[in-house]
Amino acid sequence: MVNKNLPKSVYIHIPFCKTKCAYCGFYSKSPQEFDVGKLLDAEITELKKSSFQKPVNTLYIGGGSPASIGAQMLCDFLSEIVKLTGNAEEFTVEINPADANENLLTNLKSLGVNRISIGVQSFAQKELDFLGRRYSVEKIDQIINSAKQAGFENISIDLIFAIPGSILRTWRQNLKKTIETGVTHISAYSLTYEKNTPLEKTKSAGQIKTVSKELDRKMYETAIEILGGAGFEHYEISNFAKPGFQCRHNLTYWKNDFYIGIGPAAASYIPDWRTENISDIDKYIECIPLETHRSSIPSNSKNLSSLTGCIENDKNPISERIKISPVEKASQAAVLGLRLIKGINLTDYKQKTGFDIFELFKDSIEKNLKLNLLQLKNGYLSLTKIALPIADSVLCDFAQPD
Amino acid sequence: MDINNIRNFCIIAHIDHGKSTLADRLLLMTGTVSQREFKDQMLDTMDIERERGITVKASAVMMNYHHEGKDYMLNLIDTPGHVDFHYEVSRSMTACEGAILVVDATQGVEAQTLANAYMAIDCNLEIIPVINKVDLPAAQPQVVAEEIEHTLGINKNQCFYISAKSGKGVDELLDAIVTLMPPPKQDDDPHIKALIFDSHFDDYRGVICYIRVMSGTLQHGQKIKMMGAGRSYQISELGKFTPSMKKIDSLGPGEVGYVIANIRTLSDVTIGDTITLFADPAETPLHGYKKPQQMVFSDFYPGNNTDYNHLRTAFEKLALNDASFSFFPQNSPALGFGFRCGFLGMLHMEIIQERLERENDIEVVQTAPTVTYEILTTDNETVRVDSPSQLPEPTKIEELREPIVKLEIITPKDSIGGIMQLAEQRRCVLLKTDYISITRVMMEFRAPLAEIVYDFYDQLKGISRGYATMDYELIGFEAADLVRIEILINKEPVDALSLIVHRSNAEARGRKLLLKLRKAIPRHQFEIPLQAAIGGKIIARESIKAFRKDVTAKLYGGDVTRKMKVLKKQKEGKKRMKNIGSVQIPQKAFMSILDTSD
Repeated sequence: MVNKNLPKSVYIHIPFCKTKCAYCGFYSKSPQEFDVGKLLDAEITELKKSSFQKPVNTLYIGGGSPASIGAQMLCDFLSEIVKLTGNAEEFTVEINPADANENLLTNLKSLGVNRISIGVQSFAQKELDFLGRRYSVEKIDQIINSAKQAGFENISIDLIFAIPGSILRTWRQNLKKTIETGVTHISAYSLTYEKNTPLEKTKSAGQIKTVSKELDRKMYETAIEILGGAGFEHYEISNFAKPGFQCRHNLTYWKNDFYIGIGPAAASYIPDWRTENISDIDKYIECIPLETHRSSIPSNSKNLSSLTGCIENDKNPISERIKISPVEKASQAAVLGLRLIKGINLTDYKQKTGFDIFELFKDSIEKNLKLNLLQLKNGYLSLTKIALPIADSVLCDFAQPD
Repeated sequence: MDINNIRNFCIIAHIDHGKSTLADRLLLMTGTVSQREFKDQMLDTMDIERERGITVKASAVMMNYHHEGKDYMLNLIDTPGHVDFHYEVSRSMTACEGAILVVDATQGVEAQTLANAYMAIDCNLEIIPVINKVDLPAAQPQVVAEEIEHTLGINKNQCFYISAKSGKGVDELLDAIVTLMPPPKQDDDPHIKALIFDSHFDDYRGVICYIRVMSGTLQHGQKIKMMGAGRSYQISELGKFTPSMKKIDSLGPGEVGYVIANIRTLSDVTIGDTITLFADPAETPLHGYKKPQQMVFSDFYPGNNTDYNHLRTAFEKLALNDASFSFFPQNSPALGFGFRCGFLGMLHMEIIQERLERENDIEVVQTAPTVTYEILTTDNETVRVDSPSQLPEPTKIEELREPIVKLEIITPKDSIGGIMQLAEQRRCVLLKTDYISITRVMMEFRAPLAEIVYDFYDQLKGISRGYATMDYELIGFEAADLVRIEILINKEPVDALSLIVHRSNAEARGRKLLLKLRKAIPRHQFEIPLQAAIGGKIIARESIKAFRKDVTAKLYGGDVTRKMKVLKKQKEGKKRMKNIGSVQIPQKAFMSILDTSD
């Protein structure tokens, strides 16, 4: 029997990277400093104890850089994972160009991986250097070609714009180059100064000149224009795909569907709860051997602290557990759903959240419609074109009911 | 007590010239308070009075004094030191027969010395000029005596030279009070008439009226009537201030004391009203009663840590003890809920604000003060408005008149140039200049009140390095070329920001305000035009550019919780802002615009 509340998407975090990029805010460590095998075992145990639909719809291996632990280890690990998840319809592995080669890609393909997400970031060497990426532009081309050679049709690349020193022309060239590679999916992000990253500290210290908001916006609009012209559908604020190549795994997030995250710092969304695992590899490993059942979270518990972390008797890797009320769920569904360019399907929304979006956010919707920041079209509520660069100023209206 | 052995007097002085010190010294030397009590009493006075060296509320103390074999009752009636409290001062003086005019031997005659002295002369008080602080090294008693003679026409030989601090010369002064000041006049009217010259509210006993009996004898238990207010009450307590409240059974003609009569609110009592016997009322009340006139208005809004109700309670409390202060709820779409407050003048306003913050631990944001305008409408009616938003349509205004004051400034002569410049900027017209000594000048101006209510005094102090003093008195309303500047934010007029200014200043003022607005209003999702207009004609414009980028690049599974938190905060921040159409303005920003607009 199909349980509609069972997560159908699994994210597995491999928190290792050979070097840490200056802008990276993810939890990742050098693989040399840890017993990687032990962590992978713990992750497999965590996955075993988790409830999800088998086979999963989507499986996503992210990092860090999954390949940083070595091709063999990664492939062995993935074959164990697949035994547990079954063959996912979409099986993505993130690839840092520095850690990959054709051999690895071929092996991944044979394990059932059908989507590769390459952390390219830029086709300009200067920008790569600024970001602290440890590969050359040539290496990117090689990897993309290898992926194609290995038989991958669904190749995604990440691009970063508004990098200090960047000008519109470089960005246009980046976009043009991206299109030429023949990839099917592009995530284009404005450089974010994440808290506690070396980049943010340099910025706070006034040591870098950030790109003006004007240029940042212009670059974003340029991406929409150029990628759109090349047949990429702009389907989420930062994501573009050729028809049929939208990232199904990430759509899980934006459609506010359930998912589980495995590994240190990974987040899960299961009915009524959002949880996050502890951001510490050793502590995570310590917590795992004992019984952990996601499905056994007492839903009536008021004392959340007793549920948190492995400090208490009840050992599990969760460091944060937040109960999601129906209203909170509706708010999250609105905020996430509006990130999709198509917007929120009003019928689905009501069905999933139990709320009429026009009742819950009456004033906000009216106001933003009037300002031409929201639009209603064919049963969908969505951001207008002019709202996209300033989406947060609209989305925040949906962060809680009026 | 034999009416001939009663002396009722007040002490008048410029701020810091030693009025309170002299009062304390008199209490000490007459044995009214002991050296030990003396300290306690000092502590009892309000913070603000002590710090500003001014007496905000009048009070009355009875002293016993023995002179040449006779016992005298000396009633010292304290008067507010500033002419903002003109009416209260005049009522206090009406309760007196004499006044001690204190002038600091190191400072000389100041603006408020004159203003107070003129009023005492108007009230027919016997004035004893006293030069205080004569033992200070910088004292110039002779120069000051000459200034007194020159400015007030009081013979310099009549001056007493004292040090209130050490007590030097105060014995002679006490004798002079008895010998030079007249006793209260006998009034042959058999009816009871008593003047209410002050009142205060006591949490336990209700209103306490300070009275001076003019004729007849008030008895404990009598049913009395307030002639002006028309209400009647039963006297539950009569007494005198010694300085603590001491119950007595009766108050005879010429005596000063208090009445408690189960009066619940201060607004039931009007200063200047006449108390008479309910059963056998006097035919006519004492003359001179009038309602205090508020000339300066300002809006008060609750600050950060204060809410509206808290503020209202505090205002109610203040109004209990200050009948000349008024407040009305005010709801501005721009600024939210607050109060429009009326004051006698600038100092009165500042005192209220300070008291609010100190006594009630309340934070308020106060808008720039405005004055009352008089309008002659095309229907030939005269109306007064105290807020620019109340102005009728321009087509219905025949004439717009502004309050004009006589402004007196006393200053060292080297500041004359700077003061003339300031006066010119503020549309003041010099009426006369009078050297009151070799180094000091009295300047008299005709000035629009609106030009001096805000910031003028600070500038004057700056120009004169603190030496100049000023005082003003309303002399009437005068037609002027005044216009109302309307401020439009995103094409919506904002009432709370409109202002009445002289046409010659209109453009500059409008432009200045727009620049402030541009700084204070955060960027929005769209461009916001800012305009200043007079009767629909735009005289200045600015704009706030739309913000360019506000979007989270990555929002995946692990980011949801954190991002929701951030967005919630963003929404709450928006909620705290005031909406002008679709423009959201942080209240704080709004206040900063109003607060500093000059």
